[in-house]
Amino acid sequence: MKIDAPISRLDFLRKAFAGTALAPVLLQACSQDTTGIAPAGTNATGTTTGVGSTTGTTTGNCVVTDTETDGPYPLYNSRGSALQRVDIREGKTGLQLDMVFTVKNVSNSCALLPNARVDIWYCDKDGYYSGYSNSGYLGTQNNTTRTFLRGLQYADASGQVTFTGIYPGWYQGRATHLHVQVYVDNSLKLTTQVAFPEEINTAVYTTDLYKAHGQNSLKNTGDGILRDSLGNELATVVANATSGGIR
Amino acid sequence: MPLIRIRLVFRQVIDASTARTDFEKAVLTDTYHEFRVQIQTYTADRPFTSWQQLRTAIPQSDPALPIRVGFAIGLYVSGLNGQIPGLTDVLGQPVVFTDYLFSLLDSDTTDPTRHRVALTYLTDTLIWLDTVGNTLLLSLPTGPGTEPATSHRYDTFMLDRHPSLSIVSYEKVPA
Repeated sequence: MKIDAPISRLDFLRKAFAGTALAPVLLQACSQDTTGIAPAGTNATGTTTGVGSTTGTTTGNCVVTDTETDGPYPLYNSRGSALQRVDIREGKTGLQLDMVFTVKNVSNSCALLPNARVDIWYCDKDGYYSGYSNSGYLGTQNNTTRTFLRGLQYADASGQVTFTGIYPGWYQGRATHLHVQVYVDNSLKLTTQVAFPEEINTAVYTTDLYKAHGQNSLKNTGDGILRDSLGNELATVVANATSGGIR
Repeated sequence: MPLIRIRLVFRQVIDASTARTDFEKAVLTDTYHEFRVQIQTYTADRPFTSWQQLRTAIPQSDPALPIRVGFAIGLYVSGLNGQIPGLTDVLGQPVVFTDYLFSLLDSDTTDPTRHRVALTYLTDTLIWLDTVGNTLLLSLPTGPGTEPATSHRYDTFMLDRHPSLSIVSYEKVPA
């Protein structure tokens, strides 16, 4: 999951769209930071986000990702959960997105925080969530018995969790985003959301699997939830040469 | 003679006083744990401890919170291999479900004995051929539109009526 040779977004886009459909290409996107979470691309990009207690004193060179609403479609799990997994695609098509989140403790010099529980959930390429019956540009879809694009992992010794999904789509009224919650010892420490760079959104939404829905007219800067927090909630997204996707 | 297609549901209520099987105990334990985890989304600055208090004060928590809690037992339900627990036909054979719904009936973070949940299992579409005494005569369709067109012979099974068993879908199809 490490980014060996980070490339600029522009370079990535040029390569990605140089006459090729991104089909199996993965944009490997992601890292973000939301409370207590540092983006996967942290190493490559130098972005440091850390997070820990939302109430503690911040020490060290990291900041708590801003808190955001958990939105309308969260789901969570425990020991018997079907969501504790790395690959959260469940057959959903889209540009592969490999995600790495790093959890740090802002109250303890940004020390890595192993064993923190990280839940993520987001919509599919057409803007539909699993777990609910929800409406979108393709009409109403009853996804109450499905769990696609939802995952739960416990941070490893490096404070990291990884997921393999697809690049999220979008739905009316929100900029492209994904949801994250972080628990430490069963105590909720952070509920937040992660935004994606607009140039990546634009590029992805012109690819074959996404173009039917077209571009999301609501940008990060116009999103009431994300616009005041882009400094710490914007994912680092780079190409993943190995997978052909993004991370 | 028209065909009658139905779907049945079987409701399994689980609480501390009724949990007997490993499955029931796991469902009860894990959903209670998850209830205590998930209620924190709503209680950061409020003193709610019970599901009743929460859904009254924050209506949008229903169904958001039960859905969150319910997904905590997805693996356990998968482990049932599609067989409804606690329901068999008159020969003791399992009855197959295709979907299920988790319901949070009651709970309180300070009192585990108040935790009460229900699982509602939904069968595939069945053909309801007759009712014999207190028993339904049913047939599993072999596929959409594959009911025998020239024959009136069906492979059947019989299912006793049960207080937790209900019909939730009824369709009369002209012969």
